[in-house]
Amino acid sequence: MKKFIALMLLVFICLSGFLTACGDKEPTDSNNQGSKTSHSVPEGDVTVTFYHTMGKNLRDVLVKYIEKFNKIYPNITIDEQSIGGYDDVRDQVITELQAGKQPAIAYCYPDHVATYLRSKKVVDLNEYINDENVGLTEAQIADFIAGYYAEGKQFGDETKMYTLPFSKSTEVMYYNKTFFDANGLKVPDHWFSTGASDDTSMEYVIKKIKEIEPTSIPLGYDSEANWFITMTEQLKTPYTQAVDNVADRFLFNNEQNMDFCNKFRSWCLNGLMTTQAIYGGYTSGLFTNTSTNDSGIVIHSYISIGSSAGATYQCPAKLDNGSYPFEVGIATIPQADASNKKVISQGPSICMLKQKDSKVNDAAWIFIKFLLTSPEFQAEFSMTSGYVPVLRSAYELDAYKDFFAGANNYKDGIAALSAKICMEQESAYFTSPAFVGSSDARDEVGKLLVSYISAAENATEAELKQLFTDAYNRCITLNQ
Amino acid sequence: MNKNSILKLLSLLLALCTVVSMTVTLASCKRDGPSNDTTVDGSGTEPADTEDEGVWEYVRDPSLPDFATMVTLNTSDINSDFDKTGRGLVTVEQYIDGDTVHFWNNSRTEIIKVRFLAIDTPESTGKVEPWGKPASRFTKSKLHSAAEIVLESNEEGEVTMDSTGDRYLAWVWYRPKDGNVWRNLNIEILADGLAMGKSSSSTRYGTVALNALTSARSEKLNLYSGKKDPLFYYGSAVELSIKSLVLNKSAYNATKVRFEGVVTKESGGGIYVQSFDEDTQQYYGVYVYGGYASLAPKFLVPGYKLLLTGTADDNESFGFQVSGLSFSLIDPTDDDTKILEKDVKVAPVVISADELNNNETLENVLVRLENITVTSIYTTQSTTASDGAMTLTCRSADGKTVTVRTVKLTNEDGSDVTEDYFRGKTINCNGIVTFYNGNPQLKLFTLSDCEIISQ
Repeated sequence: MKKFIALMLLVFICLSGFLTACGDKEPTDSNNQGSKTSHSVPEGDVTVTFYHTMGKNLRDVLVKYIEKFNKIYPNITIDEQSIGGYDDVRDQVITELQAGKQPAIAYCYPDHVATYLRSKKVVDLNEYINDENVGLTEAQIADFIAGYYAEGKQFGDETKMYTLPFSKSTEVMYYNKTFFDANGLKVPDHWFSTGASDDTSMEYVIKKIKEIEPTSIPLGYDSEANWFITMTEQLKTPYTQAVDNVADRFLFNNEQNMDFCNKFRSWCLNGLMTTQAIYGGYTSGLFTNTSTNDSGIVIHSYISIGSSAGATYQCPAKLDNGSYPFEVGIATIPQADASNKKVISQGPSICMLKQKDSKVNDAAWIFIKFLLTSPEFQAEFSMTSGYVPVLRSAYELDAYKDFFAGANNYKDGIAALSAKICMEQESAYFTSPAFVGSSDARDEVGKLLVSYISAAENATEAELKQLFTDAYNRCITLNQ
Repeated sequence: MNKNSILKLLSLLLALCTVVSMTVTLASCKRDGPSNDTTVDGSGTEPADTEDEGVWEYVRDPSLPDFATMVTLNTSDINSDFDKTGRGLVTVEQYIDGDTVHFWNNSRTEIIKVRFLAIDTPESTGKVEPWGKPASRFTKSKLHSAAEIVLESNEEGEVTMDSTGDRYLAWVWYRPKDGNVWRNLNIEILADGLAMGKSSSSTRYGTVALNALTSARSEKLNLYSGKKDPLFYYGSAVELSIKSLVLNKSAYNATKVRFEGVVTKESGGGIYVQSFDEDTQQYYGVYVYGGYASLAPKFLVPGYKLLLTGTADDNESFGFQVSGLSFSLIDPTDDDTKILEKDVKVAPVVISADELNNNETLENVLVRLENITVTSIYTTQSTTASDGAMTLTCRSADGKTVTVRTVKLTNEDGSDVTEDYFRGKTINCNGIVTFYNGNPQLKLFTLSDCEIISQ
């Protein structure tokens, strides 16, 4: 069913492109004449539609800044709409691209944009960024954290900029500091042991935890797909590439990747770790659990790897007596190679979609520029959401410094602590190539990791290899 | 696109063009429902409803497609337990909101907490969002009027939980009392514009779900109408005292309110706040839910005097509380929570057993009971955080019975406090006045709030 829907949506897009070619011409795009052509602040009333996924708390922040925007540009109405989740935004945009009713601005992930690009209705933001009237100054561009800004160019042609970062997060490692301190454990900084006394490896630490508390599941990792992809980056093993030939895009079916899956499989079979799919919920639930099971045992994890934006969920609730069950530590995730540190970059970007009236695109850009170059908005959005600002200047605001100063290992300071860790690993951020089918690769390696590490203990090597082959074949089938 | 896909697409478009008549009339569903209806839980009574404020009338245009019947329920194995087989008859245990309901499984052995698949309705409990109440009423009215309800998992024979690990994800089917066709409520909610999608297209009924949502958007129904929710309070905050708020709960239900108060205790993601009324020379208190806002812990601190703006809400899940607070460290608006003063000392009000038992206006106020003797103890045994919490039945010096409810208490060394600590002792106790099943009790949060005065 999912395949059919994806196919149908793609057909819509292709059909839309076909209709355009057949005479339902878009208005002449005066923007598309080089990077220095002039755009301007539109005159007269203009409405810009903005699709996003924000809940009430974040929407309140957005609306506050729309009100500020409207004090400067009262003729531009921002029709902001919360559509649901990221996938729902994608589906809605794809449907509306077919009807020519797409929003001017949409929250997006790179995979989404790769799909939208088929419609030829994604605006190359360089046309605006480099515009002599309304573009960004060099200082404004330099204010973006470089790794985040570069994500907009990952669509196969580095001369094009299809997205700008909105807010970002990464994965961090939460650990039960109280337990670690009490048992003299060191915080792991790499995955695999180099020897029996390698006490800073994840492998050593989770085995030690299991010895101390046999009923525990020492490690929980929320996103299986992130884990697989991050390991390929850390180990520099093949995952995907953006090329024309479908069969050459999916490279994850290889021995090196099976090697790390085998190691994680042994951890899983020995009760040393779990993941969201295996556990059946965010593993923060296991990390913060204080409830007993039917046998009267409280089953915990002591390490939880999850989104930096979810820090408050990794912190146990304050007990009614005012104390916390334990103190939470945060560290960067373990690495495979200290000389090639890699952590995944997540969080929404925004893209602009072409409108029949180019004035709407001009207005959309004015709003994007207002929002994304505002350190105040970035800081406030960050403090409310748990995501981190994409502008360096946001970190320099007194309010954000105060926020950082309040970082601690408890509920009232954990979000700030998480943001700090994100900043510290800025140079290690990576993103994967985005192309039509890259989301299938992501989905498939996530499922693959789950099925591989949780396969029956007596599964043969051939059966395990077949899981890789099946995942690869599904990617090919979905994209042919 | 191959020929089969084109045919499928054309079939779908034809189905969309099929006009199925349907009329749904909803107003205040509690008042509209026949008073002698038998509910699907067979009890003849429905769970208490506090949502009887405001009027929302919605009549679906009968010329619109009936998406809820464009998918079909496999009824061959519905006489089983959903939690075991992924499909089964259920009865309502408790309505929560538009996309969450608790059911009894078919054999009535388990309560199934269900988060509806593919939809995300605006919030109507904990915090209230525009169109949250209509969505909640819609769900309730459909299930209340159902002859039978079936839950179905997304994957055949395999139940899955939501990301919290606490709620089953399910399709909710119902058969109206006046019909034989099973209707898919998730899709119906999408089609009537009362929810956003939640990975809708990736589900077993993804095509219809997505079309239902697209139709609701293009028809501009409810949430997508661009109109205001008639059940949501859009006005400015009403500035009042806690006394006015809690003595007029129904008048301020679903209203944005602003008041000052001092935080006395933190509990359950929220705070108890109280303020003193000069006229009556009495404290009045209210519970304020802070939610998971990452800035909330910086503001909701015992001893802080706060200016709070939120929505008063009386609902069956959480009782009366104020929620929907906002926080900002940069250029705060009038509606953002403000710290007026720190380190404010609030001494508990010494009350008698009679006052605890008979003065309802003391609810949520920090009080002190003196010289009460523990006569019996009940300890909660459960798999939740309340495991080890105790209910102390006590006798006052003047012979009155009062109830003290503790949280799970710990000694200074971290060990659990057991019944032996309290058995037969005479104590002084500080705590918050709360109500359980309509009965007043003093809630004790820490051992340091309890002083043993005789063994």
